[in-house]
Amino acid sequence: MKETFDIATHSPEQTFELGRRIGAFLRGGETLSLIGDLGAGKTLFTQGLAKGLGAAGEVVSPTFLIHRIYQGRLRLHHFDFYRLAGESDLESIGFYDFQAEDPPAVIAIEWGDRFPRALDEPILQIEFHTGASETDRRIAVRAKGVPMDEWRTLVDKAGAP
Amino acid sequence: MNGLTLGIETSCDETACAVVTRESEALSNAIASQVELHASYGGVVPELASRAHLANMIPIYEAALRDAGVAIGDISAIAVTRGPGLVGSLLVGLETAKSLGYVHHLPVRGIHHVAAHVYSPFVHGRAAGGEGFLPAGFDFPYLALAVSGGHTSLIVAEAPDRLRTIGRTVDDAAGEAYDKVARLLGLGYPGGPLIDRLAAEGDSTRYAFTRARLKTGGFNFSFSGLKTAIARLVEREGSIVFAPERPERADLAASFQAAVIDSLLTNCERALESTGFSRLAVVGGVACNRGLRCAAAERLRGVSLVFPPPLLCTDNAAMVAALGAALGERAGRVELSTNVDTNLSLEQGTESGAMQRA
Repeated sequence: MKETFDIATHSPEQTFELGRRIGAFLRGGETLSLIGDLGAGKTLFTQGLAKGLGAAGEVVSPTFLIHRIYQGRLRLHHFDFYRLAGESDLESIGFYDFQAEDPPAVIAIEWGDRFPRALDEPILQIEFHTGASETDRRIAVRAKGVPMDEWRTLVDKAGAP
Repeated sequence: MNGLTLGIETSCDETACAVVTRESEALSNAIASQVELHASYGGVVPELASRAHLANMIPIYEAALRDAGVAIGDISAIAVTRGPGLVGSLLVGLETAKSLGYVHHLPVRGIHHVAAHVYSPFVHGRAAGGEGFLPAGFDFPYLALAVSGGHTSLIVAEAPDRLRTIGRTVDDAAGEAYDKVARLLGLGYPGGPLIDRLAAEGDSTRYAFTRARLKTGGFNFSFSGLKTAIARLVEREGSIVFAPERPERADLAASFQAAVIDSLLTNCERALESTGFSRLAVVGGVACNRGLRCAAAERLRGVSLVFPPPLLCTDNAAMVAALGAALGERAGRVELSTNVDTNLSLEQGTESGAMQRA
């Protein structure tokens, strides 16, 4: 069993579509740790995710407010950890409360690799790498807390765009 | 003196207090900026911001009264920013306002941060940071472009409490795009003034960036694609190409700035045409941008155009107090149980009485 698997997308629309398809099969309680440089597609992916969760309204960059909430079939918490000074900041932004929310919500975190110990499993770590062309992305998916096979099946079921 | 309003603003990284008359004259406008505190992080750090607000709040409150030459007994009402903003930051201002209101038996009014920016052109007086910037006859209704690190919206302003958003960013705010591009170029924080300065020396035609044309129609903005294009360009060419003293660095800043300004002004032109308005106010931190001011004056001839002085563009409490004074009883009343609302919507936040229900 492979630890990670890669998905290639070739346009912003495909990155959005990948998010939408993953959003469609989430059950609540999952944490999506989104990793990648500026402009790699983290927010775009989350816009798709929100769409897949059936959330109304536009998903905009969480950078300024650090945290935004969207309501769909499940609730979506969209965080940006870039500007947090340390792990103690997570307390003050209410991260742990949202992580323990009932019914369980979906948590998507941009720069989620900044405080990896703070994230509850199951975690779907999604790393965005830029590709050869301006719009190509290699997206590496890694699962923690659930067997990779299960995620793999789910992502496969969602179908790579 | 009668009818003075004390304004309190702590939605982001400025701790601000001001005393304003019923006629929007600012008698004081005290601000403690935290820019240096956050500079090394490339943006506002929430926990550091709340702690700094706590430390600055009372000294700034005292400075606002002292600068205005009044005592708390001269104040008739308090106006405070209730949202949107960072939760820990907003809380410091709101709780201070509630405590002062309770102790001194003053009504407390909750103000929407962006609504206050939209109203900022009407603030005047010695503490406003400039005089004579309001064109003769400038009044409601007008179109407002609110641009800052957290907001990029086109707003139809029919009256101080009748505001309607007709366009907004679908991804990054304009000021946020400046901060992120500044980060890519290793310029520092905040990105706006640094890029503005660098852009003045550069050739804005060197790099061609496509302007986002949104399929959704309306007057929405998008700056994420532009940010991505610049990230890819720097990656492809190598950051050494854009090192300090290289002309490419200034050219890239100028090309980026031209693209942002073009997007902003194109939407303004379209919205002015569609609404039939002939008055435009550009408000919020990005309204300090010199490139934007020059380009707007050039492109929007025949439009009654107002850019408030920089002191009123960046976050301040004079605009909050002025809007509170203008709305009077129509502003939402803050009770001891009222909470901050980090996602407060403009329509909800300015609709009369909305805050009691919230």
